[in-house]
Amino acid sequence: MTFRSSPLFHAAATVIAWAVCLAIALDRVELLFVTLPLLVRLMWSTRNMMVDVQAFDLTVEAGPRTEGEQLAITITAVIEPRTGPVEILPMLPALLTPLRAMVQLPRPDGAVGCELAPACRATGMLDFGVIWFRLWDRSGFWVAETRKERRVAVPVYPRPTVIRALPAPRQPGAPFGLHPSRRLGGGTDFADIRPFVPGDRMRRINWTVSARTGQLHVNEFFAERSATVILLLDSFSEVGGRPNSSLDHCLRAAAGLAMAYLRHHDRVGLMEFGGLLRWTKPGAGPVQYATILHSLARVALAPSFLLQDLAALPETMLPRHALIIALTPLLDERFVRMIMRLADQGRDIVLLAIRSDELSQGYVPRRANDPLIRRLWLLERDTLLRELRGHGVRAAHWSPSLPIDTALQTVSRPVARRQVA
Amino acid sequence: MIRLSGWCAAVMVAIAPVLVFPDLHVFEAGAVVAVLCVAAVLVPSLALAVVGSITALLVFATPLLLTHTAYALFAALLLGIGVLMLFDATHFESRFARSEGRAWIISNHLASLGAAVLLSLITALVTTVGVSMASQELDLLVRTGLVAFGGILVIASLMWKALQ
Repeated sequence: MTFRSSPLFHAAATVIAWAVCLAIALDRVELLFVTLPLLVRLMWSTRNMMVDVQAFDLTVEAGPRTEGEQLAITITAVIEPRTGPVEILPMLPALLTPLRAMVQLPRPDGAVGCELAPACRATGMLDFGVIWFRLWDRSGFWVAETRKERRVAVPVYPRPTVIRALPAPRQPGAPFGLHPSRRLGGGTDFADIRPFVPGDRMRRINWTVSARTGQLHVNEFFAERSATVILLLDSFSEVGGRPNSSLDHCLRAAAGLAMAYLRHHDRVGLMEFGGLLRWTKPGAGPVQYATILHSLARVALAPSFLLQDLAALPETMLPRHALIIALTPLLDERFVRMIMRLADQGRDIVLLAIRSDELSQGYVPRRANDPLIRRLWLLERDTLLRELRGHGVRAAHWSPSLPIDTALQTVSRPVARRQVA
Repeated sequence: MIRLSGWCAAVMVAIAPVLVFPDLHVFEAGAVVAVLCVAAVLVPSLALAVVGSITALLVFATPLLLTHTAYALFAALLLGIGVLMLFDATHFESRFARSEGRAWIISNHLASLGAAVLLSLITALVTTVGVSMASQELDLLVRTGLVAFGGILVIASLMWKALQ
């Protein structure tokens, strides 16, 4: 890599040329003296030097990050031979807060290095590694640029929303959960009183009723079961700018729901439905939570006309008894149609439709923010939600400015499914 | 600090013509040049600095045509140092003003600039003495020819340096 002339050189050359021409034209030697400091500085500069950036290294703090956290990046290199100021220009992805260029003087051994700590603005997979080095000679007349690359990938996990009101599943499945089922068993929710039969446990005897009736009676309880929950993310469209887009809110809500259900010993899976269909099989435990977070970090909009049919997916991917929680801005018809198809199969579906009008306010023209237009839009949306409810979907509006619990409370209990003609 | 040096450069560029020909009109022209130079540092814009410097050259050349003073060489050198400092400050501000860690390179940058100014003064002194000793017996036509030859040498060396 060799130096090339910088804008400063061209500026100096222009002024020198003017001064020399004027000196000749006016026959005044004093004008040549004007150029002397510039010429001295120019002759003093180091033009012929071949320079190279060696021993380049880019290290990133190990482990995944959560949005809002800082990511420690260390860049080191050796400039051979040593030059003047060195600008280090990292090409960081838009998911990180932008940083200013770093300028340094190489140490006597030519080493330069810097530590950067940009904050992770939003969820996603950070994939970067291109660093530009701009080397200046001491005079500023000559400059050289080189590009170094070392790819690194860091997942940025969503910050989970705190959720207290969890929608109850219609059909709890495996034992050892916390959701009361319709079957009688060893839970804690009271169900009924019946006469004592041999084999009943002594601690279940209801002494009050037994004393009144003169015959032993025992309490019966609903069995508690775990549920299978599938979080269905709509990645067809996104409204608003990151990190406050509809997708960001959905990702945070999905992380919060996964955490809350896994704490209840439920099995949680993830399905991303958009241009691409990606899924994480249902599972339980902290490892499953980490898997879901990793899958959430990979969620991205992928425009495609190839539409997958969720209703035709195998049972292991989308169990029939699973509670499906759909998080969507409700903008793409394909997603709505698929939800209706799933609901018509008799699946238990909760749909949270994020209020995209609130997120788009800063991006649409003032005329589009007219209250009348918004009311009409809300009316259309209400009609769509009513239609979905007609298919047996527990659907609710979700305002991102309010806690998600306010929306979840309206759909927390399963409703009897209405048959659609 | 760098910006301060740029403002000092603007003052030097503005004062140089006045030293040659102390007149109100020259002073006004110098003030206009100073405004251009200060704007170049503040924006910062090398193009504006070039415009300011060329304007300063033209303003400086005008009194040179009107009068001969003993201060002319000194004023020319002052103008040259001013232009160098102006370019240096404008370049620094445009390149490194928004960079992290610029505070660490300012002292080194100013030291380099100071060394260049000192070397220019020494070179100017040597050149003045040498030229005055050598050109006493020379004809006016030969002197003009020598100046033209020197100018061609300077331009050629610039091109050689750039195209190397």
